[in-house]
Amino acid sequence: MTEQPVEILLVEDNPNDVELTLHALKKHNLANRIHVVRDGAEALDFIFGSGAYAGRRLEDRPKVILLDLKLPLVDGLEVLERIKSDPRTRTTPVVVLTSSREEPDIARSYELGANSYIVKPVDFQQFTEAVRNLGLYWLLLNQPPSL
Amino acid sequence: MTINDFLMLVTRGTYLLIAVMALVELLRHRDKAQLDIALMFSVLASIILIQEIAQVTGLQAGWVRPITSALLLAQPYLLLRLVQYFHPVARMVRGVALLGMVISWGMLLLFPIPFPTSATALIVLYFVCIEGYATFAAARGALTSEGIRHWRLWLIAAASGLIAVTILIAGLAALFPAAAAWATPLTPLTALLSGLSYYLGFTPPHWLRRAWQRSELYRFLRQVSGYQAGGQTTDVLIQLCRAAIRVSAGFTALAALWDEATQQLVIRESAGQWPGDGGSIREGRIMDAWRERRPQVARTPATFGPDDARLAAIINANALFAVPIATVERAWGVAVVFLRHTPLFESDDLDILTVLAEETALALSYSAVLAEQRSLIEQLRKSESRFRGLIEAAPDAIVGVNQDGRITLVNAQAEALFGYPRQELLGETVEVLIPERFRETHVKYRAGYFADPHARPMGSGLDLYGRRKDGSAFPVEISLSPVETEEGLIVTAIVRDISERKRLEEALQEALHGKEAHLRLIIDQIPAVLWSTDDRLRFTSSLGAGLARLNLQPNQVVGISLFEYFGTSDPEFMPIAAHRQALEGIPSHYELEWQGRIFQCHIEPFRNADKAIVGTLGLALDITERKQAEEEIRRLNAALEQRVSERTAQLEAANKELEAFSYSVSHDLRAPLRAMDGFSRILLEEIGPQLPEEARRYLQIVRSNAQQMGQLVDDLLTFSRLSRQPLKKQPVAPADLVRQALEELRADHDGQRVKIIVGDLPICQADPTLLKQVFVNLLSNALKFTRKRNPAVIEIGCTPRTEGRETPSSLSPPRSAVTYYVKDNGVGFDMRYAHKLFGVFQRLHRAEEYEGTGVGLAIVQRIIHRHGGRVWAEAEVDKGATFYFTLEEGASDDRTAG
Repeated sequence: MTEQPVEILLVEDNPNDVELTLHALKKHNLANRIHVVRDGAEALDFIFGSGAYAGRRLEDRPKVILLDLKLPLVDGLEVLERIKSDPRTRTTPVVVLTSSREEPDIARSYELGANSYIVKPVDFQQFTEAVRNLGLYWLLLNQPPSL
Repeated sequence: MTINDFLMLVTRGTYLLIAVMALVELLRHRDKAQLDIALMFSVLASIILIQEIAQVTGLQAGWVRPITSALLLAQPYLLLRLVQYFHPVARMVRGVALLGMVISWGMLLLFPIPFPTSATALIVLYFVCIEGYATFAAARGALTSEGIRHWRLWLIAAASGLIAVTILIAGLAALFPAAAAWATPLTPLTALLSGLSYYLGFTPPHWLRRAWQRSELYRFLRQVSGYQAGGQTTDVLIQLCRAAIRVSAGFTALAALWDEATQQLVIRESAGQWPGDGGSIREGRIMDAWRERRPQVARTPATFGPDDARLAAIINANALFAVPIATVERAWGVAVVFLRHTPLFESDDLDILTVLAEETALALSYSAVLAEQRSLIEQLRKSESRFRGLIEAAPDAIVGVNQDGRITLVNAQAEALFGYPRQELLGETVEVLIPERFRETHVKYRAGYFADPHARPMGSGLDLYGRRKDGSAFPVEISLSPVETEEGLIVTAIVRDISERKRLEEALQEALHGKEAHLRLIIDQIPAVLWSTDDRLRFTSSLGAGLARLNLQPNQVVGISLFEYFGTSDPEFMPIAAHRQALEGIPSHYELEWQGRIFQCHIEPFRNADKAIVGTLGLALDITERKQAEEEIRRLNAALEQRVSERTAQLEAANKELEAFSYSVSHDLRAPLRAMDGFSRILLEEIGPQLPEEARRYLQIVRSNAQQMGQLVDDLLTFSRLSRQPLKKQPVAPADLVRQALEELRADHDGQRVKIIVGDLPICQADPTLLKQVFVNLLSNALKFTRKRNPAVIEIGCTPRTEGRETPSSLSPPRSAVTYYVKDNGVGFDMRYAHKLFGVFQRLHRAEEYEGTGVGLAIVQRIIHRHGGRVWAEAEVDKGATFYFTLEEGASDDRTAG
């Protein structure tokens, strides 16, 4: 979609949430190079350069992956597991951004190597704040390891 | 030839003879004592020889007299040397003798013969003194010794004394010529007697020695024979030691016996100066005497062996005799005699010691034989008296009968049993003890028995009777045992009165008849089937009320076999297999369906009185009803189990659904709310200013409802999570939890004047996260409902429990003594609605007044219930509310509380 490397990969099936997230990021000038995928399978294709994304350079890693857990086709935990078990993608930060505050989800995510776990609040203001914080941190402050 | 000449001749002959014999002895023994003897007598003999030769040859040379005189003058000194062997001679006396001899020799050179009177007198004095001393010493020795020594010393004393007398007379004759007339005839006589005494004393003839020895031996034997009868070994040995000292030159004697265990000689007895110690002997001359069975003499310390020297040193001895105490058959030990000096009469001493030792050995052997004999006799006597005692003490009557049928032995029980005194029975024929009607047969039987005697035990099945003196008969049991004795065959009969036993047996028999009838009734009514078979499995009996179930009469099957009854001979068929097993001694049981009923059967081996298996015993119980009941229970159980597992599966499915539902709610219910709130907000932010006031208010309402809904969803999820989360109980300090809860709630009461009193809260067992939630919810409520109070007062504390939901049992102590409470002075509520307080979504106040989802107290209640406690509240409208709860230990379980 763009020649420039993607900075944020947003994996989210709910269009409302996609829009709200993008809105929030945009509002804080963080939505420059965001790529949105709508299900787990597409997320994996993008990340590993297969299917519709065949030929994508893997070296162009996103600076952060925002990952919902409840996804069609391949669920978020599996996507997380695939990312974190592949040496090529293991170092890419993954922030789980989900509605679930179920203890097993949180525990399992961290177990699989999630770098952060954020519960999407109902309150938009809080939501915006959360998105802004994670965007700022992962895009601007965090120094990714060089490949 | 005059008598005088004859006497002279005899005297001279005697001295020559003594000298020859002394020389022979010297050649035989070659010791110092013999040398001294030979020296003395050779000197005397050479005087005689020189004089004789001078006389015969008519030689009147001037040197003859001085030579003979010089030799004669040496005699006292030489005699003194001999005295040393039986009496200690003082050094001074020896010096005087030597000096006397030298002076005498000097006078021989100085004065011509005949001597002047004074010189003669001096020489005579010298002679008389020394000879007198020798006489005295020998006499002392004789007095303190016995046996041969005694006699020999007496003779030596006499000889010395006579020489002194002879010299005295000769001297007197020379000094006083007047006295010569009566004195001269005496000298040949005294000289002769002196010679004879020396002869007998120093070289006694064989016969004389024997005579002396014999008397000593007799004396010893007399003493020892007294002990042989029943004396101790020690007595004989003491006598030996004493006799040994007596008869020899020894001053101490020991008797050492051989100890086979330690292979050494052990000193047992002693006499003389022995201090009573010295232990054992292994090596030396004494041991040689034992080993070689030959007497040993050690004449000087140089010839001692190690043990000899050790023992000799104890008593300061310088010589010893060791003589084996042995007979040809047996050696006992060694007799040892210690001497101060080289023995003077060695061969005599050895001879007599050997004889004494032999006699001692004989006495010991004899004594040993006697002792053995005595102990044998004693044993015999004891065994006989034991036998007697046994017979007398036997609980049964015992009668001994010889081949002629005569009674030879009767014990006390026999006397009592038959009523005869012993002397009346002894010698009588045994038939007096048998009732008249059996006597004739008994005589025949007796003859037959003696022809083929054999032991017959009691209870051989014979009906026997005895007869008392008064003629009465009584039943007896008799055992017979033949004994071969010197008087011929004796048959010992042990007779036991069995009338009492017979009576008991009869009584028992009678009783048994009664019992049997009783047993019969039991068996006929027992609700079971009892049967027995023989070893070919043919029924020998069948009994019991249970037969009716099989349509059988008692004993109806007797005679037919198991195979016929069941109509099969299949060895695998359970009843047949079990009966066969029983015949081999192995009991078994089995269940059998027969004729429409179920029987539990027990089959046992049937044994006769000798424990031999002669058949089988069977017992069958009808368990049809029990079986049916069991079957029913099994069926019900199975159904129940089925139902339980179905229910469990349903429950699990429901749980799963619930979890999936929660998960869905968590994800899916919140997303639309977020969209509603989010987009309303964007709308407000981005085009709010263009909207009319009313539209903006509506959007605000949408947003607040979405948020309210979000809160509700969160609370519901929390509530449902509580049921699924495991309870992690641990000791917690409730005061800390209260503090944390207040901290979390600080934002809620900003600007509110609140007085919070936290009481003393002891440590308890609880899940800290959940208990904190309780405090958070209760305090949050308290703060909310005191919002309009100034100041608000909230008190958290606990009381020892005074109220419980169950009466405390005396058997189980109350599990929690504490009731926690959170009290406020808020708006309170109407107690009429208290029952709704803890329901989900139940609210007692209007939402505009007091916000909330109505889930908080439901959560509190669920947590408290999961802890096994109880929660309740007391309140009054406008006066405040108090929430109480307890935490009961152990009464809760995760699964039961949800």
